[in-house]
Amino acid sequence: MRLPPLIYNALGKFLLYVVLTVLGIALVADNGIVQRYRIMEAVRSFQSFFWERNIAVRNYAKLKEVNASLTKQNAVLLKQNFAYRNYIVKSRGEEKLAELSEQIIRNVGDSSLVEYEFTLAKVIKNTIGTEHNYLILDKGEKDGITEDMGVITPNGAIGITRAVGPKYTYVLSSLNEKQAVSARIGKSDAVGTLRWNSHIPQTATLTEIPLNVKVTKGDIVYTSGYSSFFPPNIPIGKAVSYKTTTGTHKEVTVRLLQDFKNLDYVIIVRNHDKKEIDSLSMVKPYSKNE
Amino acid sequence: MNNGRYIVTGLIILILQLFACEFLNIWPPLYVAVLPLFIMLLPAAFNSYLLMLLAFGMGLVVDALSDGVLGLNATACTSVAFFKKTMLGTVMRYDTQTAINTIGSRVMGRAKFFVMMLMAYAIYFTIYVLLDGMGLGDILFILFRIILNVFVNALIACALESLFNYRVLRNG
Repeated sequence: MRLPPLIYNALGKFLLYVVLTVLGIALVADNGIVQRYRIMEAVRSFQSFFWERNIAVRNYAKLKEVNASLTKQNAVLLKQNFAYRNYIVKSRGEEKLAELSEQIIRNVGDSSLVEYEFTLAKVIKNTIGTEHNYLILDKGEKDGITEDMGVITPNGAIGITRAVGPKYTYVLSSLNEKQAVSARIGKSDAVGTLRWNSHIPQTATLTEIPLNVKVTKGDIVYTSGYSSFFPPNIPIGKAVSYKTTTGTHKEVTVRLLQDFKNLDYVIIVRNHDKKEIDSLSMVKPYSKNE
Repeated sequence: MNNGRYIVTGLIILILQLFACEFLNIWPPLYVAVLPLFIMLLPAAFNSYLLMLLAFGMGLVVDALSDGVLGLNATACTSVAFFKKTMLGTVMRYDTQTAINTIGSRVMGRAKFFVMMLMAYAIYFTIYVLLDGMGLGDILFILFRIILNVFVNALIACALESLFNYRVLRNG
């Protein structure tokens, strides 16, 4: 169908106007500091609006899967709970268990008694295809989130919060060559550094494991608790293979337990003692006179 | 005005605009803009595509040669060029506006020309002020800045146009 010349002409003019205006705004954004900031702010808020809707649709489609995973986690927690209760009953008796339970219920809201506090957050954006991946979470300053907080799931250390806005948080993903997690392997308690293998998806390498430590295929790798970001004993992955490097250490290839493609909810960890631990880590072991 | 006169007028206005940007700093919120006058003075029959490209180009030259943000004048002038025929249509009947070759107070009457320039500057300064401040600051101040600039610049444009008309009449 041929358009009448008048409409054709009007459309052409409008198109040229839009092109020139967009070009003008792009120039303004490129050359003005305030303008660039404000335009990027508007673009980001549009993007986050779009991501949120997109994630909402995706989450709805995956509800069945999420439900199954939560049931599984619940079963594991129940099993652990029974094991702890049995241990207390066997070693210290029924009365001590009742006393401890009462004490826990009474102090459940007192954050000063616990080392870690957890905040559940929804993943708004998650990149996995680059060498420096990141996540955007739907919790921010108004939810008490600050920079340098660990982000976990029951199946792994996901990353560390790096920039916090009023409503959203930027997390540097563990799928990042520059990010390292302190981890221990199996029953040996040998601690090393776990780093993501960007060239092999879903795997990481645990380095600095002493030669005398016995490593077997299937050994579980946990967070060590030596860093102030992540609590100890969170399972991260399973040992797949190992090799000796430079004749002094073992290098273990670890298959990550958490599938980063299916990351819907995460837990942000606040370590109440982080500041104290970090300030002590800065202390120089010797004074100037020594 | 013939083609040669339009080119001379365009060059004079460009130089005036650069001069105003460089030396006419009366009060920070007040900006003297004479480029929209040239866009409006070009004949009604002037090709709209060319007019938009010309407006964008002249705006860009002013942005590049003055101390401002590159793209500010270019974007605002393009909008004036795009809405030129609509503004002309609001103050004049369609058959009259297509018939005239020269747009100006001598042909349209002072009142109509002033109203047309008010509309042109309203478009220009809405885009200019919003892009310049990006919505920062009090809404009342933004409105005040737009209204002040529209009135002051429309008056300057009318005075300049009378000057050009006087020269055209004197030169025959």
